[in-house]
Amino acid sequence: MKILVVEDSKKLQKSLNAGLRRLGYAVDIAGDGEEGIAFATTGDYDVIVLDLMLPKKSGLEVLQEIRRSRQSPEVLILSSRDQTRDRINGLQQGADDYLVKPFAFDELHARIQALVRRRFNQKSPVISIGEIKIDTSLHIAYLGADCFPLTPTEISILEYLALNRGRVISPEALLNQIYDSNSYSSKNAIEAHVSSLRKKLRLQGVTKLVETRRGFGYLIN
Amino acid sequence: MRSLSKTTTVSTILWVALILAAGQIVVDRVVSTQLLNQFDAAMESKARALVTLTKFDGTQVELDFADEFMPEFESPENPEYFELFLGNSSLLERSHSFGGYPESQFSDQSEEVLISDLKLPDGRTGRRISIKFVPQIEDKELRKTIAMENRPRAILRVSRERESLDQTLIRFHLLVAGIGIVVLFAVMLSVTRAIKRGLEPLIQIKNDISQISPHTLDHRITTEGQPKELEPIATQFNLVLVEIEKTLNREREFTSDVAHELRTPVAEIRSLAEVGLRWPDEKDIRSYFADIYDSSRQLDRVIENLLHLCRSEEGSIELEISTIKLDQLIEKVCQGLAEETAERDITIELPQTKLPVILADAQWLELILQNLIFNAIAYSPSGATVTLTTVSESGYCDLEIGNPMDDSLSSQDLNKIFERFWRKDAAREPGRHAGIGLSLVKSYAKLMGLEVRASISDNSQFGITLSKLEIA
Repeated sequence: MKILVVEDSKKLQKSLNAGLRRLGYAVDIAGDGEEGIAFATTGDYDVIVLDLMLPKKSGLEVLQEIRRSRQSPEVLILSSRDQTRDRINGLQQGADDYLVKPFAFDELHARIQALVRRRFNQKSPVISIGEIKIDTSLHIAYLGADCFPLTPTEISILEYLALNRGRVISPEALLNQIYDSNSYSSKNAIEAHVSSLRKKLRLQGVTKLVETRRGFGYLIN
Repeated sequence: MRSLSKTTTVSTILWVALILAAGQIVVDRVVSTQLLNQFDAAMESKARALVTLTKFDGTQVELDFADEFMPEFESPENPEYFELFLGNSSLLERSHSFGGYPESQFSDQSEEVLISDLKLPDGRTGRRISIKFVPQIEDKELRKTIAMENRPRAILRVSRERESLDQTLIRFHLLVAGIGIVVLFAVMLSVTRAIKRGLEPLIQIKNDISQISPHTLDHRITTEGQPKELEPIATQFNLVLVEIEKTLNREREFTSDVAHELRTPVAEIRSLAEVGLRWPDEKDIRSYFADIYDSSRQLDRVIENLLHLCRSEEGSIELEISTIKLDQLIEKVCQGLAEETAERDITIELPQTKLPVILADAQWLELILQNLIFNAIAYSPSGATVTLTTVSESGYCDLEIGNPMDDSLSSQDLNKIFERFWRKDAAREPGRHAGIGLSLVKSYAKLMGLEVRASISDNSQFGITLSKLEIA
């Protein structure tokens, strides 16, 4: 999953970037409103965490630009403005959620997960494909009742393909979802991670879960 | 609680009732007296007629009375009575209407005409006129020969019932009372309605006011169509409401801004601490401690400033004026800001001239200088020079702190920079400026009787001048 954090506080940028990456998200950071609009309207983000009081362009202006663009990310406003009218205004302008600072990091994570589920029309955090179960909240894959070890990148690929079940996902799209904009990873890295994922699935006796459509990409049926 | 409507209505009705009653009594008295006078006059004229019929022929007195001309003295129904006495109290004649009734008591009288009430022989209430007179002598010759004092005196008493008069008077009293009650009732109705109508604008104002609460301060009292006595009250009230609304909105904004200024460093500290605790192997974990320390200092500064602001605005600060060496105080403040100065690579250029010793409160002047120099450092571009200059004149010293502008301030902005939490841009440079520094300076300066003003020079140099520092 790819997240854009639009926040002018350098310290919050640092902690959110580190925390969300550790949870397996690809994170881009924008430090002001103009940068936020540039990132949000050109990148394919699943969730945007947006501060309201930003330099150059306000958070609400950024939100309006996002809603005018062709992108349709889920937007979570993260603001220290706690008045009811601020929340109402933010939600009415097109935000999907509103969280007041100071916040618990786990709550932010839970809300991001909820927004991701909403984005992929998933009611439950657990996706079941045959015997395989993927818990998107804990980022763990199960075979029956037993979990089997996967690296953060492998579980991210498995989750993204599972959430887009039945759709062919190109290596470029996977690359975009798994790595942030500053990463220099290539299609080859994606192929290597998919290959490793298949191997681990085979060891569990699961074959042909991740299919390859030559020249197009990967899919889970 | 006293009701204006009720009090006005009751007092108006009472006054009207009082005036009406007084008027009725006067009318009743006048009319009753008039009726009685007419009654008496009619009775007297009848009695006078009988007097003219009483003659003296030199030897005896005679009443030449004819029943057919005055049948009322004969009629058995509703009869009238007359009695004619000679001066020596002997009854000369009386009307047939007396019938078998006994003679009435004779009593002499000094007045010529005496009218009084009495009980008639038939038991009814009556009225009597007694006329004392000298009977006429028809013969002219005889009249000449008998001197007046030798002529006999006579008293004629005519009496008639007065019950019909009394009934008429009672009917009149009742009529007057009835008219009074009807008029009073009509007055009550009209007064009540008039007062109600008159108080309608007040009730309208009351209804308007009842809709005003701390959450609906934008509601206004209707001034259109108000009577000229109430229109200025409603207008003034609306003006007061506007001021209250502005003040309350300012306070709400202030509270919201304070919350924001406190929440931002708390959010930074909490987020850094949570992530650091969860992933202690994060590669730049040490920088988290530095960031948490920095945010806690910012938080401390915001809280300190807010407390100072509250105290200075409450006026609960007592000044301790002493002599202060200005150069030493400036040096102390600059040393305290050495970290910030180094961080932004700022050079502070101190005044070249010898600075005077001044009279001021050392603690508060230090806070003012701290805020001004801190502000100059925070809003200068990195690597800039902050310049301090002084001008001494007429026993006072002016201190100017100038810096090149990082943000492009306009002359319109100069009026706003002393407002609490005002910023040109909503951007936050964490740990640097909470937007209340200059409002604190303004507040402290006012407290110490100093003046503070901002200016922008042609070469985009921003300056704040603290003036009226008294030289010791």
